[in-house]
Amino acid sequence: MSLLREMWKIFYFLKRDLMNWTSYKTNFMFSLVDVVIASFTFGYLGMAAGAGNQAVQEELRSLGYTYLTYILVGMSVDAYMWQSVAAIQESINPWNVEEILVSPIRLPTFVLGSSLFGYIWSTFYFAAYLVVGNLYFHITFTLNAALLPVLAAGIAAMVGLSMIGAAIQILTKRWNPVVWILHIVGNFVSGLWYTINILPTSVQIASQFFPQYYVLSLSRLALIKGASMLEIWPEYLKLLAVAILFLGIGLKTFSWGLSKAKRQGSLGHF
Amino acid sequence: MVFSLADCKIETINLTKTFLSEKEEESKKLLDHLMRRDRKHEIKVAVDHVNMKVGSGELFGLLGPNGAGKTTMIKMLCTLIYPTEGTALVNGYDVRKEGFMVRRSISTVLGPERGFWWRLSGRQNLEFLAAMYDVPRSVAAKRIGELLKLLDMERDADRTFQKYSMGQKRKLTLAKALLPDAAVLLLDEPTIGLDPTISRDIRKFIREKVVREDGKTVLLTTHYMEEADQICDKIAIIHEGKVAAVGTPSEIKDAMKEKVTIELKVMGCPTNVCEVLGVIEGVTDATTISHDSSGLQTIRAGIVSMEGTLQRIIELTLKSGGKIQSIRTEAPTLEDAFVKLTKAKLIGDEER
Repeated sequence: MSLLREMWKIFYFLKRDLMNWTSYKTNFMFSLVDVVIASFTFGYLGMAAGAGNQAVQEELRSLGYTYLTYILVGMSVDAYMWQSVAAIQESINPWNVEEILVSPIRLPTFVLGSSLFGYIWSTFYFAAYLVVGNLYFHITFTLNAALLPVLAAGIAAMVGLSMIGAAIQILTKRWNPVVWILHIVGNFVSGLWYTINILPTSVQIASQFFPQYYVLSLSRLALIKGASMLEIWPEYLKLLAVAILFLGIGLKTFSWGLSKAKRQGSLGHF
Repeated sequence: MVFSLADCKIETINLTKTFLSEKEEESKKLLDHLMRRDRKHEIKVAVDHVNMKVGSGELFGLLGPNGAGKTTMIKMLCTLIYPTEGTALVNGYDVRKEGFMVRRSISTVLGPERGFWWRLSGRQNLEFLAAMYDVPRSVAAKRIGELLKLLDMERDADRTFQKYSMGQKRKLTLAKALLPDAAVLLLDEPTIGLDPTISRDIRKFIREKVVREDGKTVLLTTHYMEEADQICDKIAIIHEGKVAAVGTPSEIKDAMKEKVTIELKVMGCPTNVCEVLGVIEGVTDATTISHDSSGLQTIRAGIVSMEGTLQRIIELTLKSGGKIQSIRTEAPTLEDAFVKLTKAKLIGDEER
């Protein structure tokens, strides 16, 4: 009963955000233009960069990819990662944070409810990259069941990171660049635009601590090579471990930040 | 008034909140400011060991000037701020240890424009908030309709919040507070900034519908004396974080001692009549405030108790040879009490 109640609240968050979003008349049109242009841009970038660098092509071919497939899947998955980083921070503002937190809402419901609409929007981006890749660039993607747990674990890890950022935001009263920088660094070391094999060894080792590395590599295996969970589970377990660690730290940090703001009496001050 | 545990909906026990704030130093060099060097802090006591009880079905007002600590108290009671010392029980739950249960049994209004999504309609906002407050789906739509009707907001329910006037925003805030059917309502300045007509409507609604008809317990903050005097069953005057006085509006006014001031216009009295009147039991002071050439004197006297005192004043005035032209009585207002109480505190602080 309690779970149903919480799910009902999450549904209403989603409904609220959808209504709010659709109230901006030109939103949908501009977003559509944005996602289509981005899909073509990265598609052509993939073709140009792949064609222009023989070493990169060889490296990717050994993994069973072309640069075009590599970049398109990378960008589509990154849509989820970025949303996970941004969602909670965006939902914390002086106009509603106090009113929401004074209602009988549980922290996980608040976190999930605040970010759900963003994930739906990310799915739109995700699908657009794959549709353009398939229809225009004639790439065949395999949508298999392994992709879902990979994305779920990746999102959980990034939400953990986002909650650390939200805690800092609640205490410092400013949008903090820490999480954004971590996301950028994550993209740099995790193989979003290139394989990590071309990076220095020390950076390659650092990659292992970033959830994006696992999400991107496992998503590519699932979407491009059609790998099943049976084939990817050892790497998936590593992602799961990172996700549990990040989510745990994130939840603890967010609760601590909230509690400290309540002690300071500064929750609604921005 | 003594409450049994079941009757008491809110109880504060040495409730205290201090804030650490950075001292403003104008002379601070720009570099120090940018580097946040040499920061000095001071402790500001916002709420100072407050003990009070609010009974079930009572409309209780926290009256005080800006910065007195009223909003901090509300925020502690709704668990948005943790007390530094002491605690409070709301509907039997401890705000320190049982925050979630406290939030389940209260409804809070913190500001007219907060907690709403501006591009959503009033009805859509209420639907969302009903879900947040666990109002069952089967009940929510009906209750929203009833509340919009009660607050005369039906016609504007489907307009976006951003197009509402301040009065409409306030009304929607009240509707929001009434959605969860909570036993305790905490309202922070519910009529601030509104024109007198809408303020009167909202006050009437709170008193007659929310408290008298629905039997809810309401704790509201205000700095309007008239509001507190008109609608509150009990008032606590808050000054510098402390409770300066608590009681019914008339009890607080009674506490002034000068319960009534009378003004007499008499003709033909000797000039020392005030000395005679001043010694009557129950008269705190008697002064001639005007005396014209025709012999008409205007005398003001403070009276603690009306019983027998007024009659004695009349008797002695007549006995001294005066002819009473008129008698007027003036009861002290809550504002008189407020000014006296808070001023007294300030003087006390200076002396300390």
